Amino acid sequence: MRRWLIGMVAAFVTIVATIAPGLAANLPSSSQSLAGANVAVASCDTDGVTVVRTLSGANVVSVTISNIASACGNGALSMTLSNGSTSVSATAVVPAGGGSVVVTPATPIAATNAMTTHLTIVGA
Amino acid sequence: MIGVLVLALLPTAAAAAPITLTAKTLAVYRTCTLTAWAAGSTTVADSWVNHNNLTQNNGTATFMDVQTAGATTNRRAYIRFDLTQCSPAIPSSATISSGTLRLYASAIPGVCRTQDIFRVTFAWTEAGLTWNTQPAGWNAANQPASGSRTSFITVGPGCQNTAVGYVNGWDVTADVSAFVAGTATNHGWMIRDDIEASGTARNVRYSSKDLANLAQAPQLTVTYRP
Repeated sequence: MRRWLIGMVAAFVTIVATIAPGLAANLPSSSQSLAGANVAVASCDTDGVTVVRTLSGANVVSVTISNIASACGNGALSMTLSNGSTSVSATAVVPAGGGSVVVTPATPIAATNAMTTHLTIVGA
Repeated sequence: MIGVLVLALLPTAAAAAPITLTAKTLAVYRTCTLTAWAAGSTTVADSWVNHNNLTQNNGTATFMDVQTAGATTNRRAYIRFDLTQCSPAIPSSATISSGTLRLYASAIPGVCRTQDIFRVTFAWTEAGLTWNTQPAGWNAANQPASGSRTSFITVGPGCQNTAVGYVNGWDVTADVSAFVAGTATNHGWMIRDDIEASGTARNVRYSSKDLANLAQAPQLTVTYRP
């Protein structure tokens, strides 16, 4: 019985000693498959877009974004309109060949003297 | 038994999962649209000057005339936008992709006319601007020379803008870039007929902020990359 108990303790110590190095590092020192780098993300549109608001009364109901480069075709366009006190967002898909797209927020937003439109197009 | 389990775990921890990155193109723009449709607004200053009435001030007029006519019966529009009203502010280091001035034409001429836009190089106020307060080099017909214009549009039958409404705007990208970068002072723009004193009166009438009509208000749209 005593020998059995000593054997069990010895086995436990061996197991712990075996586990510990395994948990100490997430990757084995011999790994050669991990690399880090900074990669520049290209812009699918470089010459700007044209933004024209469509009004209904004193509210902006939609925005036409044109002159989108063909390289942005099928890309996901996100737009946020801000008038300084509130903002609304909407999304649209750029036509395959670029060109123009009308983005309509779910709720109109009051036009003001200065309105900022934030646009992001993630190319397909 | 447990020892066997540990040995089975070790190879699992050593196996690095492959990471796949798919690059996508990304275009980010910010656009600030400045406009005004209230007489007291400081976002926009607009007026027009009358060659036929040298001391007349039209700072509160509800329209702006651009006219060619006789030797001394021309008319010009002046307009300036306060770019500091944009929120968030346009950084001085921003890359200006486009700057477009749009005016609402409520009357167009019977023939196609070219309308030049010039970056104004002198200070002026709505309340003080007259034909005579234009400095030398600006206060005679066809001054400054067409060759120094920023850009132009055409208005009338058979040309770029054929009907009443917002004109396809003047490209003022270069001037806005200079204003934002601080390499030029923002005194706005002057619009005149490309050939003043042409002999026959040809007039384009643009709505001013004082008309108090948002649907016809002057607009400057600046698109930039922050």
